[in-house]
Amino acid sequence: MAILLRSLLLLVPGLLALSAFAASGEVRVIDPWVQEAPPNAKVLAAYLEINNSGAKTQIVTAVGSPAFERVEIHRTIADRNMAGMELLKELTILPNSSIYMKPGGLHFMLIGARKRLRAGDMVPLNLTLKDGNTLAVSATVRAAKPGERPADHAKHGNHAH
Amino acid sequence: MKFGTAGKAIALLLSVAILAAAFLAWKSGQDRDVRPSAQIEDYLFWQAKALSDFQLKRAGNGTLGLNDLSGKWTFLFFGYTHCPDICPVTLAVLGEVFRILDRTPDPASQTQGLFISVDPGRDTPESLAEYAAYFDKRFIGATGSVAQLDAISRQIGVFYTIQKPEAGRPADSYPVTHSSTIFLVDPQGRLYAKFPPPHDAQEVARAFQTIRAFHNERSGKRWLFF
Repeated sequence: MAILLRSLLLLVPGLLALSAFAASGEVRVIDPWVQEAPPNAKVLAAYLEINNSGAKTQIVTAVGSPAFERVEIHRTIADRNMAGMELLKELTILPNSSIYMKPGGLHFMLIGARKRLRAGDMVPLNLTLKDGNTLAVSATVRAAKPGERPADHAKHGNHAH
Repeated sequence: MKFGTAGKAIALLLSVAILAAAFLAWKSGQDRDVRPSAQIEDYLFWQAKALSDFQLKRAGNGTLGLNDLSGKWTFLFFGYTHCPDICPVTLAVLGEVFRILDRTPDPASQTQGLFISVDPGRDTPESLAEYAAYFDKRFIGATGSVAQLDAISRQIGVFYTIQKPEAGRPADSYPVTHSSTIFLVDPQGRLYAKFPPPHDAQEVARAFQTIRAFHNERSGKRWLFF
């Protein structure tokens, strides 16, 4: 039923904004955060969980942020000896599953910060889905030093709006 | 001249004492044959490897060589600052290790961190100093020419590769492949232990304390008994 409703909405250009709202029930971003970096760091990383509760595979094709020049989807490949990075064109989230973007693995590489970001700052991230929907989320900058981490670590449920 | 029985005995005893002293002197220059506990066995190099001198650049037109590692324990990590994930994550873990050690009776005062950038094309000694110190004031940042970097990385036994940027992306946006292991150099400038990823600060701190105690036991001064 939800799929039918969404298909109908997609047919109406004037209601495109609403279609993003409809997608929020299926794709949501949980606990997005950015690790605070040294003042002169040229790049940062954003981590989050993307959950797809729908019956259709969802694909994230692009990510952007007004706080950065460019955002790329990356995966760190590390074994016991070497570490490297791989640029990904898209992220696929299978039906009823999540992908977890965590330190040492998948991350959004944030390139060219417009200003120095400190713990407690918020970073807006815009995810574009292959079906045309977008998700706007806000990631919290957290200190690398665990003792200084904000207490809202467990805050979940950053739905699209 | 004629020696009595007592004289011969004294001469014999003296010879034995001289030999024992020589053996002790020889032996004290080496590690004792003490078995490490199973908890740290996997981290230790089978035999501590003495590093030969090297030269890197550090902030303020300074150089950094083997001398700068002597008398302190050094946690060593190879990376680059245009690295968004594994480098800052690893350095943050090491910073936490230092703070954990600072809360113990034997703090990290005689311990330092060394972040060696294998990306001299984008990282300067000055930018590295600022970058490394963010994680802990006891962290040094250094880099060098390709020849200088090779001189140290080959001794440690690590590789790195400067990759080509992806098609259509800026020339200065290349990724670098580098070692993912944290190395530990002992106060005698010997490669002593390694911590492969994933890194957990509690575990690294715990293992380091055990390794340090083992190191003291193994290289401890011997007097009459050994």
